[in-house]
Amino acid sequence: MTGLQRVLHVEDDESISAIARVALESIGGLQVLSCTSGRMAVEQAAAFEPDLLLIDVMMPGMDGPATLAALAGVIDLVGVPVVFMTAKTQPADHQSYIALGATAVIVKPFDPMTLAGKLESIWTGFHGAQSG
Amino acid sequence: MARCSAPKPGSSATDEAARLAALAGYELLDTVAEEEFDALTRLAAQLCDAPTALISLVDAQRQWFKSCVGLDVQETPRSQSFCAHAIAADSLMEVPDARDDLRFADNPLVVGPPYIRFYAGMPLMVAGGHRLGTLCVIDSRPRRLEAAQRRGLEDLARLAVQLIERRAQTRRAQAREALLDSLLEAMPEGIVASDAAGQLNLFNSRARDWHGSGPLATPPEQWTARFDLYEADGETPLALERIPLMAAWKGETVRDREICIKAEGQPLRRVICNGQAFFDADGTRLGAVVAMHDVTERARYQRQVDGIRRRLQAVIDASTEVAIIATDRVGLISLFNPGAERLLGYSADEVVGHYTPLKFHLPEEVERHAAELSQLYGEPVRAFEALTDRPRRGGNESGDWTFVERDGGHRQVRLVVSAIRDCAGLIDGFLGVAIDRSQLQAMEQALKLSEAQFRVAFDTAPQGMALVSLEGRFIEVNRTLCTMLGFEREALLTTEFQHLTHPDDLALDLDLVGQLIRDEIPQYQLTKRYFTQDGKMLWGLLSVSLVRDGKQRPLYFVSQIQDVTEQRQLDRLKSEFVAVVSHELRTPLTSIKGALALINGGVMGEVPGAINDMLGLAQRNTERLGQLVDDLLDWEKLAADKLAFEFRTLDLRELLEDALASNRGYADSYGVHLALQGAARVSVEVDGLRFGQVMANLLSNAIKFSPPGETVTVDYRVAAGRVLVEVCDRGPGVPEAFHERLFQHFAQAESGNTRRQGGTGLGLAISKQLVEHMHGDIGFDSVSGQGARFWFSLPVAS
Repeated sequence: MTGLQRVLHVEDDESISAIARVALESIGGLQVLSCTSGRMAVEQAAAFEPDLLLIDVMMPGMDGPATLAALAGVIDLVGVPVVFMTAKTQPADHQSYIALGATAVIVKPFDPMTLAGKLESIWTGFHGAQSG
Repeated sequence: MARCSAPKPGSSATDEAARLAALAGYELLDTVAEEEFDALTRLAAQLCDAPTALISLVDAQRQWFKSCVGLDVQETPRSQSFCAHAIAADSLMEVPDARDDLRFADNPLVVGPPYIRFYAGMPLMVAGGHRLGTLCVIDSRPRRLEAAQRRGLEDLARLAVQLIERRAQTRRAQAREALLDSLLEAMPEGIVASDAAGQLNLFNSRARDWHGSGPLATPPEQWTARFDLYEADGETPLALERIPLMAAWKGETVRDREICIKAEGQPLRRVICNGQAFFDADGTRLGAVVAMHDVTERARYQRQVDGIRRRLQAVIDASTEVAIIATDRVGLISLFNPGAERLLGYSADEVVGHYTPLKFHLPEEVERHAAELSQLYGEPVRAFEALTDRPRRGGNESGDWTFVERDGGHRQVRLVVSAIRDCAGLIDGFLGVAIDRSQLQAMEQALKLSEAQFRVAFDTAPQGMALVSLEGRFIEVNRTLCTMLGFEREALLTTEFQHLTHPDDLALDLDLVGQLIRDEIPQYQLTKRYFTQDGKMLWGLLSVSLVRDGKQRPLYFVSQIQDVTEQRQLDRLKSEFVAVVSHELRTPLTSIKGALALINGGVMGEVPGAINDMLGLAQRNTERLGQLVDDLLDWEKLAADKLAFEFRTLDLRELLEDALASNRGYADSYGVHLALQGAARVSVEVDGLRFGQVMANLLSNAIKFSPPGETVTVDYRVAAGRVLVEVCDRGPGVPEAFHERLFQHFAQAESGNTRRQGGTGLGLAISKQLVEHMHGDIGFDSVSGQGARFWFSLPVAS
């Protein structure tokens, strides 16, 4: 285990996807696979072997939870923390995502300058908890 | 020779019985010898020169000697008695020789010892003509009395009669005196008397008891002190001339004078005195006597009765809405209360003792009623009896009558007549109580009018209205409700509201109904779902109150139902619209904000100076737009009551420190310092996120309005189970005109072209809602030009 390196990002909005990509690659030095739909993510995930999944909740067609369920069928999620990104701010919504298997929730609009740091800290926390 | 023991012919048996009764009445028979009688017999014997002289009393069977000279027997049988013959006539009877008299020739006293030959007896004739016996002389030799002896014996007999009469008078006087003495002693009255000189000479036993002593030789001027005499007030000692016995002795006839006796060791005694002086036949004053009657108990009882009477009178006088008229047993008015004066226009003085209540009745009504009663009882009932016949028979006369007022006007009254009976149950008078029916009728009309007005309002109300039984059945429904629910009126009246209520809303509705019945709430409002007749659902705003009777017992519910289905749909659409718009705005905002952040963060390389300024402007406005979207979403959730709170017990100082830390960057951008005061460790039960939101709002306002270089101070303190948090700035303060609507949504002190500071206008309105959701209060103090102090208080966590 060498730390967080590969992030699979599923986001239907191309602008947000682009900003997240710049933020993670340029600031965090991470390797990012950007998918604009759940279907695309399911197709490419196995080859990418992500260390962390960053999934938008509200998407046309397959939404965030459906995408997560589908991804679970194609890759081994053991050791892969899942982060949902949402515009919803209610704690109850966040609780329901955690219940679906998410490790953490990041609220939109997010600060691109700190996004990579947040994901790294989630990844570290997740693995600390897993090994501990 | 005839023996004679019976009265002579001519004297009847009746006369003899009367004579014997008179004899017994003188109480002489079988009494001891008395010297006065013995002196007379001695004189008779001496005068007539006879060995034997007797005062003989002739009883039914014997002659008994009250006095006797020369004979040693006390009595002899009447059959042998000479005297029994002597009393047959008024004059002296003389027998010269008994042997020659056929009446006595064979008398044992003649033929044997003492061999009587001569007898002379003078009858003793007392008042009423009764001859009780004789004064007689007897000798054993035949002889005759001389004329002088005869007259002397007659005189002595008269003396004997006087003696007998005087003796009888004396005895009668003694008996009367003894009777009087015992009477005086036995009397319940106290009797006191004085003699001719005015000295006390008699207290009977009751008077001795009351005064605590006998009459004693007390001079009149000491009577008051000695015998504890006071005026009727029980306080003023009696003056000498006011003492009843003294007044009587001086010639006054004392009648029913009340005085008090307060003898030592006895309760105050109240007595009524009657007395006068008494005189002999010549008019010479012999003394004075006063009788005292104890009225202490009667006076106490009278005071009680007076008290009851006064209270009763007060009730009667106070009854100005009710006419009370009492009469004596023949119908003459004895009481006419202010209510009667008011009803009829007469004063009590005009009618009491002058008229019967018939004066106030229409004669034809009384006659009609009398005829009815006559027919009912089969006996004639007339005039006043028409009103009193039923009370006489033990019932009440109750009915509606026309009263004639003093000025001739008519009044319709409800009258009840009853009999007043004494303690023996005998009728002592009658009592009539009358109420003005026109007042009752006016009240009834007012009630009818009120009902009619209610009916119109009920029927034409634009909202649904219903009277609902305690069990939930519709008792009455208006047209709007029928239309609203799609029911015919009759069908709705056989329905219970429970059947028309959505099952999810029923429990809350029934709970509120229970609280209403238990008087825990005065009324309630509830937005709930109803099913219409065709199965559709409608939202109703229900307002329910409970009608109770005079004893506060629940009667029925009054429900108003407003159809708010459309309004709710609009509300929902608006909520959805806001939610969608907000969310859709947030997505592009995320991109813009992110892109600007990356550029301004230098991630995309260095930016030329002029562009940099414009990028900073774009970033600040993006943040403002983001805040607006956040506030709009929060406001919408608060309005729809959908904002969830996660209460936790948190340390206040830590919360405040976090809030300051979070807003320090913002403060720095304005050149404003933040300072936290207060050191107490206290916990509050809040949603940390929402608490931070409130603090951020108050701090950002304070920062925005502070001049550069100033300090915004946050302070807190604990009092009476609550914490008070204050945020103070040194800005321009809140303009006076804006104070009232500061916490309303979209409120900002400046508007239009003059708007200087950023903000959505929702911050304080949201903060207020958030604080109140956390069981707190929020407010501010501000003097224009001297800064502002915003505060909120929260309960300390238990």
